[in-house]
Amino acid sequence: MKWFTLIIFLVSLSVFSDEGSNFSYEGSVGGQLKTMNRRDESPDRWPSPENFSLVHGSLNTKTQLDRARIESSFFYRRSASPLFETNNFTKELLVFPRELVVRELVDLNKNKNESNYRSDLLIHRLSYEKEWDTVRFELGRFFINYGLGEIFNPVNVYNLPNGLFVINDLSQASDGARTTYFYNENMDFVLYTLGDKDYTKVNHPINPTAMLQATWRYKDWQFLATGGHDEEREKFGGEVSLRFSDYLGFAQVMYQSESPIEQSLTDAMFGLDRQITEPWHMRLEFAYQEQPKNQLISTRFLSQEYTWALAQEYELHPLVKIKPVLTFDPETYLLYGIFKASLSLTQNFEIEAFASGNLNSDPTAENTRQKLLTRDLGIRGQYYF
Amino acid sequence: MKILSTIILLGLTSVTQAASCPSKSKDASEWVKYADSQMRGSSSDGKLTMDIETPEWKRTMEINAKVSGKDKSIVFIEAPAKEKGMGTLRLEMKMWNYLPKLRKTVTISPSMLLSSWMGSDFSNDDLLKASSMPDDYHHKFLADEKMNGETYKIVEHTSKDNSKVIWPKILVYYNPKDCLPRVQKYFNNGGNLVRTLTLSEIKKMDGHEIPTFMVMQYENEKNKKTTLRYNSMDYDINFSDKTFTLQNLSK
Repeated sequence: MKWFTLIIFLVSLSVFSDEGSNFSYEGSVGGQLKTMNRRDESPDRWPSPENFSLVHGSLNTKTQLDRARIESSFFYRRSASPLFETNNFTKELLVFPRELVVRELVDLNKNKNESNYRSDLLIHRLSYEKEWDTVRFELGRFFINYGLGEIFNPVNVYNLPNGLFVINDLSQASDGARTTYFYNENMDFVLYTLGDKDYTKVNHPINPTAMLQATWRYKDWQFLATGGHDEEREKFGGEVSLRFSDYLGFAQVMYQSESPIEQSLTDAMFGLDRQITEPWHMRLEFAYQEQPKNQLISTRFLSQEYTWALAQEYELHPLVKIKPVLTFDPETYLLYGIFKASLSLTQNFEIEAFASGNLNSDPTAENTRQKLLTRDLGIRGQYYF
Repeated sequence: MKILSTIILLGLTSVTQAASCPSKSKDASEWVKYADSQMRGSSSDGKLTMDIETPEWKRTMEINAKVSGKDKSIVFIEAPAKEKGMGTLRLEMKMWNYLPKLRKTVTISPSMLLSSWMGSDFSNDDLLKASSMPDDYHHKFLADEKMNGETYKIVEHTSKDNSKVIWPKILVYYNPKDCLPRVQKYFNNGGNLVRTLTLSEIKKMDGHEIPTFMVMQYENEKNKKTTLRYNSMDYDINFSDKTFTLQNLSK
């Protein structure tokens, strides 16, 4: 709470001491309803969720000073399902992403698990940012988003790829400091010094993250390299992208050394992005994510080692977009589909219908994570102000 | 957003400033240069309102657009709330989008030039290619035409052999009184008219006489149009070196 108090102090100081300050706010509220089910293969062990509802809202503030700004975001999410009444671990898979602050130094979250619901109230973002000619410094809780992968983005170790998020504009936050040095218009460096990621939330001592990232742009190429210490292991990787003909091609690789609790892991991906016609956008991603051995259920993002993904977006009308996404596991032949159709009802209010599930599967070949995939059908709405 | 203005305009070229309306000139290129110098200047900073309309609905966006020379532009959306803060940076033929809610800068593939800009009748290509279009076209006068009681000078723009442009032919209707365009017709490779830009409400902004209201409409979507209104324009600005950078885009 000392940290929180400090930020509030900085906000107050800035607002009241700088005549040039400018305060603004914005936010969104939304909700979704969906039915979920999975094969009744072992209902006692993995019960089907049946139905799920979620409401969420955020309020963001921004205080712009001459060369600095303070931003905050307050987020509330309430998820309800009969499965929350049980102690079965599969309920943990209902809310995605479960953790909205992944590298935490100060607990600014209020989570509640009661009878048939779970709620999260948190300060999702609270940062002070100062900018000089070539340096930008950010302190507090903030989002870290980079990398061209939509379905799989291993070069960004701080955040999940948001191509599959149901809530729009949602991101996972980290606590710490980010220092960016803009060497010139084609080269910049970023130093991240953050709290540690702790999936278990059992008060294990903080093991800090320190990672350096360099980006260099040359003609139609862009190179990104990153490396350092994170999650009690060393991580090194990079991304290279090239604009050629009508395409944007990109490739990533990320290596993580052995940690006290897990083996070393290597991830890689390759992607192609193209606008086929004016309303039709297409993207292909081929991913390899090494899965830890000797784990019943992998905690890694993808449910399989190899993934081929085809993501498309088609604008039927300026107010209507459809987004079909197919992912395929060439080892088990699991074909998983996601379909979304969004409609902008007003300038700031959109609704979206969505469906997802296995389109082809072989129960004898599937791994445990794949067996737990659900078939979902639902509707979502979000209003921005 | 000079981008946009360029878009809209014809994409004439040079950045040189012509002194006065070359109404007596028989060289179409001079007309093109004059209109370009009026509408574009050496640099500009504009506040614009874009409306995308059909009989059933209307969507409005407030935009701030800065342009320097032919190769640099940066555009930010100021309203509505859903898109507020989104930005686009163009450096020559490279383009990036900035998504403020995620604090993410996204590289755009070259083919994204084809896609519609925020659902409007203007494309990213309009934004990106606008500045090079003048250099990529031959210009010649056709016979004058009468429209709504006024006589217009018609300049045909045909793409040069090695130019990479989407529109092989553009017809521009100039009003001889002010040498500014009133209508631009875009034709495809088959010689069919695809879309029309109408320019009106000539006003003086920061010493430049420009059309301040434009309407873009596709032939196959007669019930839909995109309008663009210039609320303010400042010209010939000395932007800081940081204005057209990824650093500024992600501010």
